[in-house]
Amino acid sequence: MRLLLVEDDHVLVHSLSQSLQRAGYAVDSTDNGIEAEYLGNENLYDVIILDLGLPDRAGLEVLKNWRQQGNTVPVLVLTARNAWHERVDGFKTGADDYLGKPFHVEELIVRLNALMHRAQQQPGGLLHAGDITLNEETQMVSTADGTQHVLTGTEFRLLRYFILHPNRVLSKSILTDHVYEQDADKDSNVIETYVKRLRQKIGKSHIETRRGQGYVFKSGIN
Amino acid sequence: MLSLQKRLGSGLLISLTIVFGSLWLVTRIAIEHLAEEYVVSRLSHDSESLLAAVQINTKGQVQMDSTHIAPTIYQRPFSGHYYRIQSSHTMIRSRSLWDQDLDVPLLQSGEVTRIHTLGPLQQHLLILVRGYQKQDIVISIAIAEDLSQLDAEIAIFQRYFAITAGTTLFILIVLQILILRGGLHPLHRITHELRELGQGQRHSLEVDTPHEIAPLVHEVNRLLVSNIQRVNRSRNAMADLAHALKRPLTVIQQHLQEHRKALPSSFTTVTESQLQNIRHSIEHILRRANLAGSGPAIVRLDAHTDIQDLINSLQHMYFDKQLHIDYVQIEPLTIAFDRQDMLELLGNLLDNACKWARHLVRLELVKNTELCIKVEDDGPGVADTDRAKLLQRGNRLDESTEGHGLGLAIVKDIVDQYNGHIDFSSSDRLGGLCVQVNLPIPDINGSSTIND
Repeated sequence: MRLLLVEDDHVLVHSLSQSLQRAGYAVDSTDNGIEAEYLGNENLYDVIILDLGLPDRAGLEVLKNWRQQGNTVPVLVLTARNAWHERVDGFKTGADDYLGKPFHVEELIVRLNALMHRAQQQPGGLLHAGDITLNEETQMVSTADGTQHVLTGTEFRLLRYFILHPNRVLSKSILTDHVYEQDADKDSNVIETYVKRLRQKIGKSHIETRRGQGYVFKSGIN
Repeated sequence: MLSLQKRLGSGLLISLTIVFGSLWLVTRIAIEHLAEEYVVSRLSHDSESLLAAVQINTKGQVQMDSTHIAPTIYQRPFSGHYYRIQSSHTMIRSRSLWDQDLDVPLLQSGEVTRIHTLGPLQQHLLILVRGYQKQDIVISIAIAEDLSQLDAEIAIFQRYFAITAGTTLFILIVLQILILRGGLHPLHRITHELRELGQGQRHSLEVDTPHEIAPLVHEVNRLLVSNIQRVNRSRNAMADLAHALKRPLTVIQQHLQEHRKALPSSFTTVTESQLQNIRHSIEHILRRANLAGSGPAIVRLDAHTDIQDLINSLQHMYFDKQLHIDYVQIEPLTIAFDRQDMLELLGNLLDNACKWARHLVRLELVKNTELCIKVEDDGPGVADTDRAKLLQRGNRLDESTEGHGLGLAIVKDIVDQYNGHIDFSSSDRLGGLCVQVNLPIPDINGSSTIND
């Protein structure tokens, strides 16, 4: 899941990025509203964390512009301005969730995960796909026979993206986009390696290869 | 205090009535006096003519020289003109008296008296009696005239005068009511505008007013503007302060979490709980400082849209719970309260309900003499004995739920600011907690109205 963190406090960005990456998000960040608006329209991000007090362009205006342009990316507003009238204005402008500062990272991550599920019409809690169950908190997957497999960071990111986007063709470049950060060393061949490792853990039948197109994750397989 | 219109109106009414009443009285006395004097002077002349006609014979008896008595009015019975001449020995009455007599005293020479009495046929007689001395004999001549006719005419005049005066008085009163109404119209308008102001339908008073009250209107407008500026300035400053304080707090909290493993647990526990204390204090104090309070609302709460927006927001926040929030508005409401304060109040009440509810939350707004807000949920509810503690939780910093307790403490602040009261009970309808808040509705028209 690729996440855009719009926040002008660099110290906060630094520590928050690390926590978010550990939670399985590929994090890009920007510290000003104009760049944020541009990046948010790139159709690259699965979720955006938006601070409201931004230099150059206010957060609410950025959000309004996204929504006016038909951009429906889930947005979580993270702000110190958390009086109820500000919340109401935030939701009215098109926010999907609202968290007041200061906050606990755990709560932020729970809310982000819930937002991801909601965006892909998945229920809250554990992620299920046929006989496998992914626990986002522990980043472990359990298969039909009840075995628990520990996933590496990238494996977890990849599997979660698959589960949240089942039954559709996902090219290597799409997968790369949503698993890695902007400045990461992107080699699409690495994706092949990770898919191979995932197949070893959850079984081959879940991920089909479409030659020249990419992969399809089958959700209904038992 | 009595209304201006009533005071001016009754003052004018009383003074006009006094003026017209005394005018009527003075005229009446003057006319009666004039008429009597006129009659008296005529009688006086007649009296002298009679004296000339009186002869004293050798026996000392009084006789009338009938050739001198020209007018036949003294001959015709009960004609209304009478005389009676009396000396110590004799008495002569005019023929018109017929068998009646006039009851008059015998006067000494030079004495004069006027007598009002009832004469024959119930005539109102004015009798002028005068004493003379002719050839050493004292003669008293009484001469009388019937005033009935004159009285009747005076009465007619007075009736006409009273009718005219009464009509004039009535017209003047009606006129002054109209003039007062017109004159006080700007005040009526301002009262109306103040009422709209109180309900948040306008932000200032019209400046097009008579110059007597223009300074008042300008001053009110100036105060309104400065009040709005002050509230906005303070709110902005508070928001900036909140921002400035919360950022470093967030960073500290983040760092603490990140390095938790490297730090002794006693250190992190204490620091975290202190951070939480700071956070709660900031939140509580800032929100209390941001309250506008009752008074002309800066931006009025729209009971339909704003509350619906709030409910949508809560449904986003509690998306996973799939809550159903019922909003019941007994009748279309206009609520003359500040939008920010009301959203803060309703937001915290509903948030608390959503936190504990299983599936259902119900919000009901009723407006009568007070605005009654009722929030119910289908959660576990609160035992009677614990309800009193609900409002103190924010201060005790019960950490069981994120941000828990702070909300109701803020609700209490807002309710206090609006001189309202808050009650907790068990919801009959849903089974959980029922919080009821009553806020008195500001009534600026109250006794200061200049309407009748």
